[in-house]
Amino acid sequence: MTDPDSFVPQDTKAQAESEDSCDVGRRRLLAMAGGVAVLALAPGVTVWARTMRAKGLVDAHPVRYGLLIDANHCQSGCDACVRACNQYNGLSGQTGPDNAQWIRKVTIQDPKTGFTRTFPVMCQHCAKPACVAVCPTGASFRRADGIVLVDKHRCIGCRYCLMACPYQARSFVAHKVDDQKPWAPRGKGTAEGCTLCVERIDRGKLPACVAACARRGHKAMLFGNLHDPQSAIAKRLAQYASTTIRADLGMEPGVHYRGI
Amino acid sequence: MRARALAIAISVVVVLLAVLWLTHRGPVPRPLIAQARGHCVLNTARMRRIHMMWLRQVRTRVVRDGMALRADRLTRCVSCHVQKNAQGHLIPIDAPGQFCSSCHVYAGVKIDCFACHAAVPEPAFAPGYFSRAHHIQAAFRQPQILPRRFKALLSRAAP
Amino acid sequence: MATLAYREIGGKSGRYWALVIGSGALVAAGLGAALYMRAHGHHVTGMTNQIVWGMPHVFAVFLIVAASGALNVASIASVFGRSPYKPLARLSGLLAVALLIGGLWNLVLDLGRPGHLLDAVMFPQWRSIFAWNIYLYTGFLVVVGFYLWFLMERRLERHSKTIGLVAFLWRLVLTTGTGSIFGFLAARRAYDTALLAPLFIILSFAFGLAVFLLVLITASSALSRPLGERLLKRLKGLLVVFVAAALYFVAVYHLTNLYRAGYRGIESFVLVSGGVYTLLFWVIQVGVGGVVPLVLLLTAKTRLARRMVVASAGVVVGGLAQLYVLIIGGQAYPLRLFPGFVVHSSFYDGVIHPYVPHWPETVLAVSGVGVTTLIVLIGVRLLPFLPASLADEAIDVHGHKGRPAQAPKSVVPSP
Repeated sequence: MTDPDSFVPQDTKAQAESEDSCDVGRRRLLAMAGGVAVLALAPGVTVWARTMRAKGLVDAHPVRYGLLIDANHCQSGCDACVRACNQYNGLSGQTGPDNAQWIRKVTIQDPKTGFTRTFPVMCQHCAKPACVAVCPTGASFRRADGIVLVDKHRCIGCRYCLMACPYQARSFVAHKVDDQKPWAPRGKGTAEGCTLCVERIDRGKLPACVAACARRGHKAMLFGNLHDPQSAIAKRLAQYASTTIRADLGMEPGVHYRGI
Repeated sequence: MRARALAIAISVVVVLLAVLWLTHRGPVPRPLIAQARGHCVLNTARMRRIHMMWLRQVRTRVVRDGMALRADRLTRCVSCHVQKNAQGHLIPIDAPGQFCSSCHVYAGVKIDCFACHAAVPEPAFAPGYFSRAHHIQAAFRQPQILPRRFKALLSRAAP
Repeated sequence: MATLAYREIGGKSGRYWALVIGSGALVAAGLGAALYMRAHGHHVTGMTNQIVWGMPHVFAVFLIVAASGALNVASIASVFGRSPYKPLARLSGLLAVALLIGGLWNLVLDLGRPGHLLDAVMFPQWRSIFAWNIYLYTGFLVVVGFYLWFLMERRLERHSKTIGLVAFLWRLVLTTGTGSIFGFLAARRAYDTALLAPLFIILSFAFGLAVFLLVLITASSALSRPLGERLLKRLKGLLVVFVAAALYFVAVYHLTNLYRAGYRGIESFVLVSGGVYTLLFWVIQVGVGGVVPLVLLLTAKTRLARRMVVASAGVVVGGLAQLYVLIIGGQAYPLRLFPGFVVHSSFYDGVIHPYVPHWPETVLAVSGVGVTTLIVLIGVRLLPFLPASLADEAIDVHGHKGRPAQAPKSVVPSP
């Protein structure tokens, strides 16, 4: 892999298998415990656990993709990540109140000290996302690898997810769209938000914003598997203090920030 | 009173029939389907019969389960079946008379795929684009969502 | 067994047809506006990515909350056994159904893709209060439909208390669900409180009764059907209690927020510096919708029926203003992503979001009222919802009079 935009997917297969053996262990334990009631419950429990895991409700999956955004390295005046996102996903780049923005540069200033920071904010890909909880059709969903997406086949355009998201990370498509990119379907009357460039990730490439930031040499954005202790992002998170936006809400964002 | 109601009902029916008769434009032309490039993921007869189920299954697998196979994408349909006009520009695949719409108009079935999906392929969209997707799939371990009959179909129709 | 006479209205007067045509035109205009929004996308409305829900939702929530409240009069008669309200039960049920359908009309036609609504049934998500509400709303229509049937079918009337109880409990859950649409949103400071569910229940009592009184009194006077003073006095007492309770809950809501340091921003926005929201809150919601009706009902000396019409209209207008302040004001106040910091971005972080209702969504919003009116107008003409007489003698409290004062053979609506 010589492509600078690539990331190496770690061997998830081995982990998947180790999970299997864990499953077997649990079954053995249950069998030893015996009892008709327990045996009767076991299949249900296993199915339940599987369903919960498949739905991403239990965060025991070997993969959880996330970002670490280092505000110390993010340059004010640079919006390479925003432009890369707009270009790759076919957004207009307009910033009117009814235009969609999947990622935005936010500047914060402490009025007492004058401390200023600038950094990008996008969908935080929460472990317990409010947008998924409120969606009446399940169009808002969390993929098993932690990416929060809108399944536009099911979206009815009620905008309850826009109401519920504490990060204002969702947009509603208020205009007719006919210049979509083949890899980023989007249409009038549906909700949408950052997909973490899911289609690039599935091809083993970095999200467009992360790749653009790296190309600029700023390296303010790091992408990786939060659940793999060997990944660069997990190591960095273990080494330095970091935070998440509105951690008090308990939604456990997958996007971490340093230096704010 | 009853006679009047009857008269109103009859005249409504007559007016409706008249409107139908006046707006009737003769039989819909048989669909004309241009030759596509490359091989389809299923053979033509099967694809004609089951493409709606196939797309439905596959979209769940790709979007919700994150199992993105190369052949699974609607984009692949578009890139093989899209036509160019005399100037060499790509014509949206859902435009009148094009691959999707010619049949769907004939059958009277509305589709809204291209309200969200791109109706023309991106020029840079080279074959082999999704070749590395299988790396990720091991991670998902989703239960098989395709019924057995369907899997047999797929394996028989490998390109 | 009460043998009160109910009678369909004649429905031949010019006024009746003017109302039918007027509300029909409103419905058609609303449908047109919705199709226009569908064709062009929501950018033709004043709603944006910051003000996500606008006028249609203000009216929808008002109509839905009022729907559950309008059923109260029937519940008081059936469930709590207050016989003077019994003759009003049918109208109460009809209004509940009509108001709910009007509210749903708004909600559904405002959706980005209403055609996909069935997905909510195909893939039910029980963690979503919206998904619950789909069943609560449709179930309410079914339950109230049965309730009306039991009320109108003499052989089933014995069981109307049971179904009345079911309907009453259902409506309590329904209003809780409606309040929780907002109450469960931890992200927004204006909504993030469990108080919204009980607040909405109290509001439904007031809104529902106000709408009911408006319809009852105008219908009685238009049809020249008598309306007893004693009955009116009882209803007046109810309205006073409900409006006062609503004011109390609003006061508790704002005092709680004022006490919690983190919520003072939104409070000072609504109560002091919010411009149109502050004006609507103090003048329309508290003044026209609360204080004026109370003063009017408790002290003024003009004719009771007229006072009650004015007071009810005040409660309705105040209620709409209240929901405007809550729903739109709650969104206009920016989300706090970084407490303590001044925030700037291209996505309007940290600024008060402006909202100017445009015509499509406003027409759609008002058309919900048209739907309600149309259903009521057709209902009272087709089926005997309205009592022939509501004179005090006809509906004696102890109700053993046998027959009402001989009702005229055909009721001629006043021209």
